[in-house]
Amino acid sequence: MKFLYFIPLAVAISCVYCGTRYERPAVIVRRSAGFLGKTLGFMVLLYAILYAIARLV
Amino acid sequence: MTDAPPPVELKNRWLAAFLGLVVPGLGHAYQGRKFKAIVFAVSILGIFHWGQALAGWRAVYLDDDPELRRIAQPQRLVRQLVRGYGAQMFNGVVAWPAVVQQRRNADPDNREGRFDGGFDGTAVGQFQFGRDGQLFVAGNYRGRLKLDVDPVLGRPTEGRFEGTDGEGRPVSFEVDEISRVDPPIGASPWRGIWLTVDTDGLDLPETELAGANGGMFLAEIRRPLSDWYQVPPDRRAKDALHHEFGTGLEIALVFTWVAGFLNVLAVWDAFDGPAYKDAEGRPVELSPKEQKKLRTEPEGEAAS
Repeated sequence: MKFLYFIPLAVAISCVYCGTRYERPAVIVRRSAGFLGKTLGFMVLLYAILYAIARLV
Repeated sequence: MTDAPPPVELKNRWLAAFLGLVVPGLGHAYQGRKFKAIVFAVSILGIFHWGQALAGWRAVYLDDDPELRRIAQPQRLVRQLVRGYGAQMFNGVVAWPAVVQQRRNADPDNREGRFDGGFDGTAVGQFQFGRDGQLFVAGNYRGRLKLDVDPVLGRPTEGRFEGTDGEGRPVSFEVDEISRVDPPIGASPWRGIWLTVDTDGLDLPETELAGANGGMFLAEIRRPLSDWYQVPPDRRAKDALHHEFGTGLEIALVFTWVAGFLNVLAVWDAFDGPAYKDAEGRPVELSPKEQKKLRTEPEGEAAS
């Protein structure tokens, strides 16, 4: 379950990345949430693909 | 789209960047950008310290491999930084003790066998002893170790262990000699100390040591925090770290590296303001890609 550790890491990356691009707190929060959603979605997709490959091989 | 706010007041941008480099978020606090200060401080310091905790607070150090010491500067420093500290150092003051600790660790006085002063505290360890021509090991000894050491000879003038064995039975013995002792400064919170014990005089018929003739108490005593935190591990300690934490060590290192890189972004934000801003330096709420799309859309509509 160590891969779950990357969720807070993704949260931190999203917050800092968006925090350095925008200035208003509301925009930072909204953009960070979107960034985090995309990141986690991509990770889930990647994990699903790797899992499928592992099952097939 | 809302009206663009006024340009960000960066005050003394050099000072802000320096403060941000020392403590993540401090530069923004100085500029009065409190929300960002909190976000950066919590995110960066949180990830850094979580990474540290995942590896037993031993993930941050300036490497001091003996092979590196043979390389002349500045190549040696480049190699040391490439091995991980180059990213960790950007976490600021929380990672900078590693530089001092590397120097203390490399000091010729920090050598195996040096044992200044006495000791009186908790010790844990194993007891190795011979009996009937065979070697036995009995573990989980825990108790109070008291050593008075001759400062000239480095030998205990008086030493005694009082504690329990692995089964919880009381054990006590006199220490004969310090056989080996790890350097005072090392990467582990525990300092190894090998004590020769004259078992002939032991009267412990109920314990594993019954009938032992000659023994060695392989004890570990606690190092003070200042003598192990951010001290570079030697190869043996590195192997022990990998053995103890496995993949958790790699995750911990990644966390501390990422935290350092994130603070580079935060420092740049303190120096130059947000990345997305217009020609007058006013922050905008659209990314360059979205701005470009917004500019081209009316043209597309006009063409159609």
